[in-house]
Amino acid sequence: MAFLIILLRLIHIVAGAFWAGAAVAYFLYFEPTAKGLGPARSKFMQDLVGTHRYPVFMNTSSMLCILAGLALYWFSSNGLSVAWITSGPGLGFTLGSLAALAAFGIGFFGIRPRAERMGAVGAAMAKAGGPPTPEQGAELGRLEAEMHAFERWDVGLLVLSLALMAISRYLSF
Amino acid sequence: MKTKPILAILLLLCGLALAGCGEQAGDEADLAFSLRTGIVEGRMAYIGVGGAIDGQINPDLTVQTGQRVRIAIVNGDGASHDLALPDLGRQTPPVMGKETAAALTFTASETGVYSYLCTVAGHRQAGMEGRLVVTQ
Ligand code: HEM
Ligand SMILES: [Cu+2]
Repeated sequence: MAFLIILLRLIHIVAGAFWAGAAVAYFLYFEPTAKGLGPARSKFMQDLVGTHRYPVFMNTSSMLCILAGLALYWFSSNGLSVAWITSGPGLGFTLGSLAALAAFGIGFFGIRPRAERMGAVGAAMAKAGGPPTPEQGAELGRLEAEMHAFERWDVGLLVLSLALMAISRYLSF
Repeated sequence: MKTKPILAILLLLCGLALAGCGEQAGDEADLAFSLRTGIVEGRMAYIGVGGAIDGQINPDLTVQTGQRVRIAIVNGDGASHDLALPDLGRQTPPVMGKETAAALTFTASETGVYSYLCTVAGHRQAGMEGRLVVTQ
C-alpha cells in the first residue's frame, strides 16, 4: 500500500527535521544566548524545560522519527536482507540510522537529565529568591560544561545522520 | 500552543498522499507478463510467473514492436517494491504487503534492450533488475 510508505516518510522526515533542527538551533543559538543572560540563565532553562516542555518536544519528535525510520528500514531492507544492507543505499541508511540512534541515546541519557536538573536548580533558586548559593553556582557550572560536551556529539551525529539520509539513495554501488 | 496551522498542513499532506494513490486502470494488452518479488540465494529478485518465464530469476521479457504489453508485479515477500522502465518513462505504483499487485501497460515502439528495475533505494543494487528486449 503506497499510502503507508508515504505516511511513514512524511512522519519520518518531518519529525527528523524537527529533531535535528531543534538540536542545531539550541546548540548554535539558544545556548550561547542563554549563557549571555548571566544569573537569569537558570530562569531561562526553567521556562524552557518546565513551562514550554522542550524535552517533551524533543522526546516526541525523536521517537516519531525513529519509529517511522525503523518501519521504513524494515520495508526497504526486505526484512534485513544482507544484499540490501551491503548496497550503497543500504549502507548509507544503516550508518545514518546508527548515528541517529547514538544521538538519541546521548540526548535521552546525557542531555535531558542535566537540562531537567538545571531547571530544578533554577526553580529552587527562584523559590529562595536570592542569588545562587556557591553550591548551586558550582553545580550549574558543572551541568553546563557536561551538557555542552554531550551536545557536541549529539549535534554532530544528527547532522551526519541527516546528511547520510539525504544522499544514500543516490549511492550507486 | 500555536500548533494548529502545523497540524492542519500535515493533515492536508496526508490527504494529498491518499489522493495520489489511485490504482492505474489496466487496459487491453497483446502480451502480458507476471513477476513475483522474492529473495533468491540472498539476493532480491523478480521471479517469472507462468508462460515461458515461469520460475526464471529476473527473466528477459521479449516483446515485438507495436505490441501492447502489460507487466504485472505481485509482492511475494512483504517489503516495498515497484517496477519501472526508466528508458520508457513508465513505473508501477509501489506494492507493499504480501500479495499486493500492480501493473503497467505500454506499447513497444522502438527495438532495443531496456532495463526494468525496482526504484526502492538499494533494490536494484540488491538484485532487482532485468531486461526488456524489444524486437522487430
Ligand atoms: C533510527 C533513526 C533512523 C532510521 C532507522 C532511518 C531510516 C531511514 C530510511 C530506511 C529511509 C529511506 C526511506 C525510503 O527511501 O524508503 C530514510 C529516509 C530519510 N531519513 Fe531517516 N532514519 C533515521 C533517522 C533520521 C534522522 C535523525 C533524520 C534527520 C535528521 C532522517 C532523515 C531522513 C530523510 C531526509 C530521508 C529521505 C531520504 C530520501 O529521500 O531518500 N532520518 N530514513
Ligand atoms: Cu524492490
